[in-house]
Amino acid sequence: MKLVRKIRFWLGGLFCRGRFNAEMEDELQMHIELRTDKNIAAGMSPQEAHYAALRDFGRVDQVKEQARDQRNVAWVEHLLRDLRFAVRMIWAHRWFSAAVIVTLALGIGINTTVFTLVNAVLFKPLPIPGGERIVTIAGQNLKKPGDSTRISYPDFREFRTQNRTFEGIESARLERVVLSDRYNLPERREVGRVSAGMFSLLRIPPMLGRDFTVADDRPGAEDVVLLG
Amino acid sequence: MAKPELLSGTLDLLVLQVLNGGPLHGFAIAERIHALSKDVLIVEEGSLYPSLYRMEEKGWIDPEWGQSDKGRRAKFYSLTKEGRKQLTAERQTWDRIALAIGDVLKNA
Repeated sequence: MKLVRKIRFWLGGLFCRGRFNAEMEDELQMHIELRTDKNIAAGMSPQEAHYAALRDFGRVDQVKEQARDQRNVAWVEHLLRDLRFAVRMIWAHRWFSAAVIVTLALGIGINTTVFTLVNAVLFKPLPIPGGERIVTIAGQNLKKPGDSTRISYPDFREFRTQNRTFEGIESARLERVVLSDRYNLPERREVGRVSAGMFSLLRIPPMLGRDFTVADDRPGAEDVVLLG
Repeated sequence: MAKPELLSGTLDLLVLQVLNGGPLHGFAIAERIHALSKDVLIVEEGSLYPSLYRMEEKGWIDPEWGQSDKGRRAKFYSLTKEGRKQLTAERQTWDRIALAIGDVLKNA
């Protein structure tokens, strides 16, 4: 109730400024008239009575100004005036303004681009179910902290047999290879060598054919490739 | 004798008290206070109207346009529920201050 009244009061001050001012004018005017009547009743001439009333009232404009400020209208009017001034100044120095705008646009644009990339690569989890639970295991040389090293295959197998922390541990290694056969030009390709359980761990079944099986991991097994 | 000036903060109290008797317009409020104080207190219009607008904003009084007894259109102010609460609070504060000042003057 209290808030509603307050909001109505403010909105009234903002949007019905004309009406509000007119009402205040009426109210103060009536006050002066009543005072004049009273002065006449006390024996003054009408003219005298009117001037006395005005004098008693003091500065009518000041009262009005104060009331307007109270309505919290003043700051809106000031804001609008400042805005108009700002626009005029921007236009008056348009080449300088243009340079500033271009500089800002470039700066913001580059930052946004870089952040989008960094965010996608570094911060967001992998876009697969449970992606936020996937981590990389790396080795660290205690004498050179900050340098991470890769895990050797024997270590990986050791970790996997002793694992109680993770749902599963699989290994992967990215390589660049050249694919060539007798009839086609050689092509450079990015490939990954992965342990057989990789895709079942990630819960990404192949769209065609079969996933790797444990048998594929055995020494001497035939090479198996999944195309991405 | 110099014109006694109202203590700051007491105008609101007086206006609320006078309005407690029923809705009045600004001029009548000033006249009523003047008369009730046996012509001692003079309410300056320059402080009365700002005070009225302030209390209107705080929701203590509610303005309404109506006809004065002489057939003029006038803005009548009436106490709201919050205004009545405020009046009680301010009266209590005033009574305490008056009593305290009285004690000091009597006993010092």
